[in-house]
Amino acid sequence: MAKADLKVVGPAAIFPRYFVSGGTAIQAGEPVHSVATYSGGEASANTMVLAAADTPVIGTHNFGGVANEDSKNVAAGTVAEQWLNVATPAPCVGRVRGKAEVTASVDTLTELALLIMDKVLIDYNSTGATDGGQLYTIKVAASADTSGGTLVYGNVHTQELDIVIDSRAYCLDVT
Amino acid sequence: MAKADLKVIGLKGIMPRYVVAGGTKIEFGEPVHNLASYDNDGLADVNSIVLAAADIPVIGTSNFCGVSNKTSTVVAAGTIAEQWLPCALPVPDIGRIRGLGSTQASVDTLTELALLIMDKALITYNATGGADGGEGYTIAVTPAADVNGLTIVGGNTNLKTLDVIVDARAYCMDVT
Repeated sequence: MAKADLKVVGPAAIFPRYFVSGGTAIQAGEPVHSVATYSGGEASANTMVLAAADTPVIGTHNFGGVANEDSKNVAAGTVAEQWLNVATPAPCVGRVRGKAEVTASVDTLTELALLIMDKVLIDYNSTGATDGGQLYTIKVAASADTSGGTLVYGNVHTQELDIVIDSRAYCLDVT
Repeated sequence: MAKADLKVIGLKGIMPRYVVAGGTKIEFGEPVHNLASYDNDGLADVNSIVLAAADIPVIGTSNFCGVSNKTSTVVAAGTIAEQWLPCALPVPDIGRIRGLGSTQASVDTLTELALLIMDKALITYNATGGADGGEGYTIAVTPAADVNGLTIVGGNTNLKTLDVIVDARAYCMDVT
């Protein structure tokens, strides 16, 4: 786990997301999503989880936002059942800010400019944090049009990137 | 060019947008968009925004990038300098863009205005419609297609202004 990997900038809503007990502990600044599928309008999973994959992929993940607080955990260190406050950026307008996955790829304006408007994901690295836990960064390589983030801004001095979230990344089963 | 043709009302974000050198000067209150297309690889073939030089936003044709929140800096030639230009982006389906009706006589009574509510509309581009002979931007009073990325939600018959909201799909090309 790594605290404050990601930040939400600009218009956003803070709202409680439901988590069942037993999942991985969540630090403020980590992304959460749901992997529910639908049949007859019924969600196959009613809970959010800490992202354990690159997210959000349109049609695969319902993006939930970025944790606004640390989760309450049980003695075993896993998540207790709770409503966790999450910052959800307004689609297409609010931004998620994080370090670039490869910081050397965004330390000049020329490099950054070539990434603007690319479709990208939040990168998941299960052991990338300084404590050996998961690390979340912003990918610098586009891979598919179904990536639910659009790169809109960055800072070449801090090697941070800003993405907006496609409205479809909040809604599975949307084509 | 015409200053303050459009305003963003209500929920919005201010975001710096990347502009390359050489394009047309942008006054605050003018709409901007990005004309990138995608080829299933997530890569945008155009990385910068430009001043709209057509009626926008058409869903699936351009990525709407908001309304300029300041006048761009320019080089000696009068064209734009490379910069990050702050733009106001209305939250889709909620924040509004306000502008004069493209035909003001069509929105000066409630009866006329009421017939436009919920119509799909565009920002109208007129290359010489500004008071100074430059481009002017208004809100179209005649719907043309369902792929128009704006919906008229209100207006003021005294000022002949119209308020539109922006479809989320207008921010994202390659949406079907």
